[in-house]
Amino acid sequence: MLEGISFILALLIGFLLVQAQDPVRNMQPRWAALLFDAALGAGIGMGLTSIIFLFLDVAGAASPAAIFAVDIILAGVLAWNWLRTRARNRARSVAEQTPHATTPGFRWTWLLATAFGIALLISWTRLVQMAIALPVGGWDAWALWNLRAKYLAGPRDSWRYAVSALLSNTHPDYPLLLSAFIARLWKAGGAVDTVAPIATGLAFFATLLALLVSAIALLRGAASAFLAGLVILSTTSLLTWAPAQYADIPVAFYYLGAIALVFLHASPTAAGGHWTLFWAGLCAGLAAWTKNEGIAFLACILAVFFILTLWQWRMGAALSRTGWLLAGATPGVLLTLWLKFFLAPASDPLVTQGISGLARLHEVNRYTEVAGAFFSNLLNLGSGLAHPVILLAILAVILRWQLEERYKLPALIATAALVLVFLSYCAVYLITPASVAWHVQTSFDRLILQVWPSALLVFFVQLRSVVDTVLPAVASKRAVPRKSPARAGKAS
Amino acid sequence: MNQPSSGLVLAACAAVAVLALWSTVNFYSVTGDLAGTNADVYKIGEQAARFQDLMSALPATGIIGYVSDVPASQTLGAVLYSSAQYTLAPRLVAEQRLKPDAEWVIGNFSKPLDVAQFGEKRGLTLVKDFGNGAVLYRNQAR
Repeated sequence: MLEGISFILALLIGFLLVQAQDPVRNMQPRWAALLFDAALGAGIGMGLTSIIFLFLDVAGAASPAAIFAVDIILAGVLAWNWLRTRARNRARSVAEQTPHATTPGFRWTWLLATAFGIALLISWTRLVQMAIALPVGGWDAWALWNLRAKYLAGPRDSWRYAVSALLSNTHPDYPLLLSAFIARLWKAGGAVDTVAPIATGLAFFATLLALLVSAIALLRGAASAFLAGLVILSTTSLLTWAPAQYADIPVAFYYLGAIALVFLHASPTAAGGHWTLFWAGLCAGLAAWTKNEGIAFLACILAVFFILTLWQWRMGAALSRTGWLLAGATPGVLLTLWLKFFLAPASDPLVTQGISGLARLHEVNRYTEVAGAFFSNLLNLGSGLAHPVILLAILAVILRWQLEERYKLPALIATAALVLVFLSYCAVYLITPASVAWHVQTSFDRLILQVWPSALLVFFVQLRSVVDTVLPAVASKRAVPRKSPARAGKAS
Repeated sequence: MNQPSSGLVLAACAAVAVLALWSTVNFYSVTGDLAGTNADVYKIGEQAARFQDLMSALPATGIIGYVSDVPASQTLGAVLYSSAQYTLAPRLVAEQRLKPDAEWVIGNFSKPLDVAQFGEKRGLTLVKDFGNGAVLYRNQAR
């Protein structure tokens, strides 16, 4: 009971926090804007309350009373702020409404929505059954993430065990977002059970789906969103990992959040301004605090964002925008530095080998093994004719590309960041001191899945919208940027 | 570039919807084993019952040594070691070679053997054999 309340409070805190500077305040359709806020808020809420719990734990103050006191104060302050600003925001929203804010839909959108709903129901039923059948989760869940959650939820100084060098078999230098969130629920509920990690794993998967569908609905319309939802539900390897309680789904969520917000920042109807970039940075920072791969993502998106914004605009704009991104990423960056340099100095052979690993770059067989594993895992994303890549090919051939001018820079940033992140994954395989075959066999599928939802977002933003293909008049109206006082200063 | 016709767009959407629905139905039918009673292939869920008596004999927290007849470098040894770590947490279970001075040491065995003799060879005194391969030792070196 208390565990459930603590969970709901985490989601509520995130939702109210996002509402304080809503990145999609004026966007249509409204259901998508609300869903986007709920999904983004849930992910941010889980991340931030996990961080707060870790500080309480390290300070020796992580009791159920302290957790609930902090949660209730935070939720109360944010709710008060939300109520205070709601009337003002509503008035501003009405003033900023555009004549074509409600885009006429594709006649058959309801059919796509129905198909998505049925696919969601079938897959979700199975995911819950799988989660119940294996309540301890997959290998990494019990041997790594939930093991460390038990230390963090333990008495007195047992949190130190989560980063102890004695855990050499389970990577004590891995980031702590997921473990600390589960520990927070256990501590608040007063008992260690299997419900908290199951609920956390499924919640992250649900928010990942909701974020993808809502972001595409806001950027390209509801029909494209449901098509994206159908494609991601046909990614059966993603469904298989969803109830496993691994950190790959949460990190995929934070990648997607950061990328979606970079796109939304360029949307003419979004009213979040620079705060949208702040949320994007926060997501990238939380990705770094979720898995080591997230550190690569954070570095790549910051570098690519700065370089390409500088190329497109000028130094002032590049510095200002990257500054907002970096400001959002600060919590994740500081926590990662604290973990890596003070709490759990690197003990992974991959890092401790130093530059000697570069000598392995000369081994040609490593390249062939990595390439072979990539294609094999790409093949295993789905099955038969319903493979997600085939579905994407059908859409690409029939609908073709139509990237709106305003999304060209975000699309370039997102593509470059995702490609660089993926190349960094491949580079790790090339220099790993472990057996390459073992390394790729045990992780490559999950690494592909980390970037897959973000890749789908980039694909659907570049794909011609279904609405645009059947209603050319609407398409031409949508291409005209809206001019409003709120957006006047955005290009600067 | 010409716009695709409405018919083609509708056909593409229908194809994606039908194939995706088929995919999820297929996913449901081929994952029956993962949702069945044999989903826990490493039997991690059973370890709590196996170690229940041993746990009550251990301090609630602290570092506990670990020995086994199967090296942790082997798959079976890794399963035994990691499952003991998970089940006995928030105690930190560490191989005896990593923490030679731990007062309490657990033995986690894959097959019946002379556990007293196994411990003596490593400077450990048998405290209690709980059965099912779970054993508690005390470190003689302390």
